[in-house]
Amino acid sequence: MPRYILGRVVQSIVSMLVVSVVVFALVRLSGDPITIMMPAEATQKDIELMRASLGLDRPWPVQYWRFISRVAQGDFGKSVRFRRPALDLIAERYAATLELGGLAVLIVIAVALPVGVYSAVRRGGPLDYAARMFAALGQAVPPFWLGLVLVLIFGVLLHLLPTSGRGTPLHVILPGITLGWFAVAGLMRLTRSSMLDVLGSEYVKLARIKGLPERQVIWKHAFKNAALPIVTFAALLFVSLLNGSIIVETVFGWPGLGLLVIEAVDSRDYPIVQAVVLFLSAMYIGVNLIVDVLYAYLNPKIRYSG
Amino acid sequence: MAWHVTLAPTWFDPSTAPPQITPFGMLYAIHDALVRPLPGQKMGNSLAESWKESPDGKTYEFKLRSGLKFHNGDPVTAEDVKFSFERYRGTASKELQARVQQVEVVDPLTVRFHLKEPWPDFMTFYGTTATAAGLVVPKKYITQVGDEGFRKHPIGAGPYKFVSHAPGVEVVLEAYPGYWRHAPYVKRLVMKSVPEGTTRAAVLKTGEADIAYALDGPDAETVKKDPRLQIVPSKHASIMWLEFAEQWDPKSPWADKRLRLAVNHALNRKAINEAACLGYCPPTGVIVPRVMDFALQVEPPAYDPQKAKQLLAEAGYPNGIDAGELVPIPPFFTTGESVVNYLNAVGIRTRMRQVERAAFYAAWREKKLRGLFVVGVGNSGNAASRVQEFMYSKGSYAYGGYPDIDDLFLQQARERDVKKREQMLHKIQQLTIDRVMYAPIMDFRALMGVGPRVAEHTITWIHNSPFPSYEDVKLKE
Repeated sequence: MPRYILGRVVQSIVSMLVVSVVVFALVRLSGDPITIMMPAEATQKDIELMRASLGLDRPWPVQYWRFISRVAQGDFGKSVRFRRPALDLIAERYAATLELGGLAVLIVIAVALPVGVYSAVRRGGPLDYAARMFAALGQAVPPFWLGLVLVLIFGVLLHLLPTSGRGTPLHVILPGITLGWFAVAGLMRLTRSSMLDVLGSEYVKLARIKGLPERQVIWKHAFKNAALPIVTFAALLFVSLLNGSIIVETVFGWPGLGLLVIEAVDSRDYPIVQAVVLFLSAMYIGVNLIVDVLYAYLNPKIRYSG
Repeated sequence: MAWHVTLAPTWFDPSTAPPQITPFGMLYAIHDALVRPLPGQKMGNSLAESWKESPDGKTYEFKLRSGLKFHNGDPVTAEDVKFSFERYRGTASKELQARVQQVEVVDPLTVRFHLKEPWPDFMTFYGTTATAAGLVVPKKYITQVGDEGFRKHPIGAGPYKFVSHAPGVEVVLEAYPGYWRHAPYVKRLVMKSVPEGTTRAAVLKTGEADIAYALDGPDAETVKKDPRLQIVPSKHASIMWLEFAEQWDPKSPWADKRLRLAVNHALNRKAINEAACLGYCPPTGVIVPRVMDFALQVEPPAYDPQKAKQLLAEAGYPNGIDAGELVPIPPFFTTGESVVNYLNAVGIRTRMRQVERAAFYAAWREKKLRGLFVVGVGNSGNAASRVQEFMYSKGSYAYGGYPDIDDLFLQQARERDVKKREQMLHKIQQLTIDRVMYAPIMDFRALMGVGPRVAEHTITWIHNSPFPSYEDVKLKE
């Protein structure tokens, strides 16, 4: 087991290094950030001074080494636009994204699990058909379109909810629903299929033969055993929701990481782009690592084959 | 106020103002200039009580109003004026530094600018939104806190005091009671970034914002249909046109004037205006906005698809031409789509490619864009400043030029007789039409949404600016 964990940790570090190289290279390949940062009237001398002050006049390997050494010390550089440390901005915006992602996960779990379980138990029934249709629709509707429709209905027509920004608890409802919508469908389908697998197993049949109440059979015996892939999916879902918040935050003017990175790309604020991509990648890789380790703990076959 | 862009701290500091009008939406709230556009005046005395030009045109003397104070209580003095000018590194700073020999502080309320030679455009550059060089910042405060400190908490002499800034989210300003014109009527301004156009329209409808900036055609239409709201078109110096970047390359099909003329006749400018601008953006025949001094007032080429096809055939393309990709300046994709459709209709086959804003501006400035692309320019000045940027062969955004246009441009820059100067600038603009250097599309009007609480929006009060005269905005009781 320790060897397996060590292997996974090394893999994660290598993945992070690869991500850092890719993001570093892509940001520079997309164009010279100095052309955006400097005013049109800047002299060549001003441009060269700025280039030198940011270390952009050095060869790429030297720049990369400098970048990665600083990142290792928690220094992601300063935002070109906001003139503040990138990490400070991420810390400020992360709370908003976490709030949005957290609500989205709650919505997903509150809707997807009961409906998925019920749909499996009443397989072929009207609710099962309705749930499957909802799942297909949920995965087909683009989040930006759904977001705008919700804004029009609940904000403009009904005047029930605010449509942009962050302030009161009401502000998070529409973006939370929009962000969670797509994931509800995915988790519902997974819950349904996992439950269907388990409901056909011998121990569930035995529990029923023993005369246990149906509620106990479903939630205590079946759902508990079907939960492992669901929990795994939910953990990864949370991280993917953070990534998916880019569109939702733009639609709702939600001041989180998504909006920050979109604006940074637009203005070629490369320290922010690098920092956010690395931060989100680290989260994704970190959660994957935890899931791998948990899996190995729960299922010995995995650690021996790995 | 819901903004279409992110509010960055660089906009709190006039010293780095780019060649765009948008930063003035923030700069004129916090800062003030010696001379600037004021309600009803193209170039009104603001911090300056008076100014005069010497008979030889080489000296400009400004007299400051007495008793003026920055938001922190420091007096506004001639030293601050000199410091602000010398600190300025924004658009046209090279031009200003090359032409201004010395700034002399005569006494605490008098400052003199000595030019190397007469420059008829000095006040256009110093006293309008053409540059931010005339905005006055506090020397003492900046010396104490440094540039970074100043951008974190700017102090100015404008109508509103800075309160707070949540990066990328909002800027909060508070009325400055000591503002020399009068205390602003609205006590607190919250400027929020709402980048998505439909959401910007929605916050206006729900009352979350009182003014929504820069709505695109479809969003503006929904606002227009709501009887509680109004759409106000700006009257600033903004214009859109199609560039033929390859016209100076003899190997390119765009070197053929007939092809460029075909493009001009293929565009139904009236319909493009309706689709992208609700009919508020008047079609144009030249790339200098009609509201600018010395602009040539001409009608656009007629929409004539038959003539466009005939010109294509004469140029050797009877079956049309594959014109590759057309890149519109972000975010004006509706205009880009309309242009693409009209070109395709006559056989100039093109497809639209969207690029992100930073990449477009960088490629445009580095002169890397090829084929056809739609540009939009909204910075202020006069016809001469537009000629300098886009028509003069050494202009920052010129992809080529002609010796006679260059000569005329240099001549007019020295000419102090306004009539003669106007003739030369008109001649340059006429030459661009005769040579079909561009396909002008329309004078652009930013569509501003105004909510029901606003009694006086003042959006068209400041010459060549799409932003309100902030201190004059009134809400209903």
